[in-house]
Amino acid sequence: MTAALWALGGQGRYVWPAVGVMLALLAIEWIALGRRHRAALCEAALARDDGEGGA
Amino acid sequence: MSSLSLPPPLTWRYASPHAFYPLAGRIAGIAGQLAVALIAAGLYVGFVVAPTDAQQGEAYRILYVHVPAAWMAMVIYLAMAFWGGVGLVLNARLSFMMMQALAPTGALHALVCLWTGALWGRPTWGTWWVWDARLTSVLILLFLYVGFIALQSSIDDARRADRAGAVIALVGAVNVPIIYFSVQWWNTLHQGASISLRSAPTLAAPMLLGLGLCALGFWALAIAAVLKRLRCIVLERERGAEWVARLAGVTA
Repeated sequence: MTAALWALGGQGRYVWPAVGVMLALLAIEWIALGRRHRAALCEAALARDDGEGGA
Repeated sequence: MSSLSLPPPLTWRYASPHAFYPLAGRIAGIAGQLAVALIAAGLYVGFVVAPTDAQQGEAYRILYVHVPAAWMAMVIYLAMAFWGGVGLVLNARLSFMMMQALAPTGALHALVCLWTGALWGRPTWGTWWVWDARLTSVLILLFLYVGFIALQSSIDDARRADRAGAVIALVGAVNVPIIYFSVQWWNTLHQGASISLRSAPTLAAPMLLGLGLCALGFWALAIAAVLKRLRCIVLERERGAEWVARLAGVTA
């Protein structure tokens, strides 16, 4: 790794947005999936409670 | 006469969403941890150990995210077409759910591939974008993913949405070999393959190691994300089932 990679005016200004955006998108996907899973479980619990209440 | 009862083969047993749900959770957890370790190691080798490229300078290091993302975008589409085909032939719910779970991860990889490609193109070609065969066919791949997701969400009846999505996935699979061979069939600004099954790689050993680690990491991450999404889809679609109600009672 050379100073050119770190220099703001060097080629690092192309490399870091590539790596950064990739990591950010993957992290967002992972967090969103965790939230969706919890929401699906909660909805299933609500559906079960509604079913029990109606019975 | 007593009937002969044999246990179902492993593949049949796990064809049921109920049976596959816990297995998917275990595989997703392991694959997720493996992905973090492999990608961290790959980026370390790629950014710290691997030498600077003689022609492209430091900008070539975008390869460690661009190439694995491109490979995964193509592989995931083929997997989508495969599960769509299996779903159409066997009318298996889990196959369609798998197809649906693959699409957003594939779209994400296609987007990362295009974004990192533009950032690589600017310092090496002098332009962010050209309408050459490779770039255009990958853009079409992204549109196919987006079209698939839009079609699936626009149809309320899940069975009709599954069948329509499977047709798109199968028809769109034609684009994958076009992407792969575009640099051979047409005269493109995009470079040819540096790694091929028929010839020795043209990359230096540390570069190849970094790329290999990142590629394996992207595989593991894609498996983890797809299985995690599959678990969500199973819960959403099987909401009325007794086993989901029991599961929700335990975990909610």
